[in-house]
Amino acid sequence: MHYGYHIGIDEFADWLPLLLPILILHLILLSVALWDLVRRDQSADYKWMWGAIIILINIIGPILYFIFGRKERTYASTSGKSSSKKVRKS
Amino acid sequence: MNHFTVLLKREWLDARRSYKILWLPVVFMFLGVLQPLSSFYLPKILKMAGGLPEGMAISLPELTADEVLAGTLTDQFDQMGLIVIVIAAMGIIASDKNNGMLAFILTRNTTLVEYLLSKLLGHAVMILGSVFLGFLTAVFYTFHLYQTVSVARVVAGLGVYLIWSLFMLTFVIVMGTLLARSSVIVLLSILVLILLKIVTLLGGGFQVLNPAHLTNQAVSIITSGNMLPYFFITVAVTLSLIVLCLLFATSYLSRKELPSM
Repeated sequence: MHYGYHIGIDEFADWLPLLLPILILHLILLSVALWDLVRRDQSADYKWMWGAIIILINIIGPILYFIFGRKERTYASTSGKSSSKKVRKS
Repeated sequence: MNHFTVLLKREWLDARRSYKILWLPVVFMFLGVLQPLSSFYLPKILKMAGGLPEGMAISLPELTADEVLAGTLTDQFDQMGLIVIVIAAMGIIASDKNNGMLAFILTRNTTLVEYLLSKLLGHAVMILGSVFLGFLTAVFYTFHLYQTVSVARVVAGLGVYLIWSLFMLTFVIVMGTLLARSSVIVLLSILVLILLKIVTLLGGGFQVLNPAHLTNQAVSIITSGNMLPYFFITVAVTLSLIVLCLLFATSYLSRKELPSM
């Protein structure tokens, strides 16, 4: 009796097409969240904290960031046009 | 109708800025993947993780494809999905109210009805589209792992489920007009919506009037192809509740918000 996991390479090839969409979705979320975090006007502490959350918690991390992490430095709400927001058109 | 398109454009901008347009579909697609994958691979995973202890017999039910799809609706979308919908919709009115945007919009010559309808339409497209995409992925995975189900049944079941999602969205919008703090909105909405869900478990005749009963209708349509009795009454009640909620929100906002401008 052995307790180890046994995943052969052959079996992995069976799993891959099923897991690939999840992986791609995760990567998209992760990269967009990180991109947004880097551009945000926030303190370094804040960025490190949310960066850790985004990278270390799968799937949920980036979503948590999108919901709770996207605060402005002042307490202006993120949704809605705030007049002070600069036009960021690259 | 010109105001309406402007308001809709604003919704679109808001959806892009808040990345809702990105993460909502992804969350629902993830939820849609979860149910078929986990129910298909659970026996294998148990075996790989060392197997069950000796003498312990758990008979895992043999699921059919339509049961898995129905399970996606009841287990994933009605629990995590409900919470996600509420969180996505929590700030719709409340944030506009808090940062003065609502008062600003209403000083322009738009009507409250236009404003609320643009909010509802913008988010309805986004949320119903996400539910649709999520269910689509669930269908693909189920077709791949199990076998195909009649597409007509699946589409009909999904359509019924979308009405219930629309009701959830409208309910959260009304909560947003009544209350100011988004945490309270989320708590109350989730409580009430889950209460509605739990009440459906009791059964009984008054379920006909319960919007959450639409999930059971959808499940019945997907698994057996027939709807439960009094289907159209439930749909009619839900749709009229949606309209009533919107009317209530309009009248409440016009009484509360306009004088305080």
